[in-house]
Amino acid sequence: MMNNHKFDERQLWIRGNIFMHAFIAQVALLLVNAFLVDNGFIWAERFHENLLLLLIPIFICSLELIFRDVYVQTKAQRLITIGIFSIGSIFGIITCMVDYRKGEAFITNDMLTSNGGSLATFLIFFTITVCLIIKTIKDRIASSDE
Amino acid sequence: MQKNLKLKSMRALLDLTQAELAERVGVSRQTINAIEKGEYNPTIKLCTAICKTLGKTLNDIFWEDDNDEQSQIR
Repeated sequence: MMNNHKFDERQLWIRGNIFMHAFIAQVALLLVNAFLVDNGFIWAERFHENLLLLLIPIFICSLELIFRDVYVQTKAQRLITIGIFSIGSIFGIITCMVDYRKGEAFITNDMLTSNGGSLATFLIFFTITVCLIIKTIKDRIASSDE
Repeated sequence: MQKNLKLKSMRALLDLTQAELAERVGVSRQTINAIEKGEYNPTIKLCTAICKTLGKTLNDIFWEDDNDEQSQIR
């Protein structure tokens, strides 16, 4: 459909708005986390706490970008993203499950363990991939109806 | 924002789909759709590109006069 390999002005405007949402979500999450930590509630290991604080706004931002049709520019890029994300996330989830079966729990003492944090990270990427696949199918159905 | 029925009719006159016009102008189909629906206010650069593609002037497609507003209200 688009052969200029660039986002047009409306898409750039939408992306700007979405990135602003992500920034607001990031600030809100940092504040909530600071409040929780200040009150002695540690919900994850340090590394995964910071990683998830970064990934959650990226997750929100990605879903909004996907469903507002401004995530990637070309069909090829979309397929590459789906391929890399699905392989990576499924492999990661399987690895976490294997570790779980070896005795590494996901949550201990009301806190996400390293394995639990990794699982959450891979689930985020897996959900983004699923949403991207759903949107691709939806677009195909819409274009075949036209 | 008002619907841009002029753009829709000019495009139809040339027997172009939204996707074809979008491709010629170098934007996405959704952007042309948003302009026609009045959901997006394009920049003068994009307006000019659309006018050149359709062989019309800015006044022909993007000028809103009172008659248009009244006919849309009806």
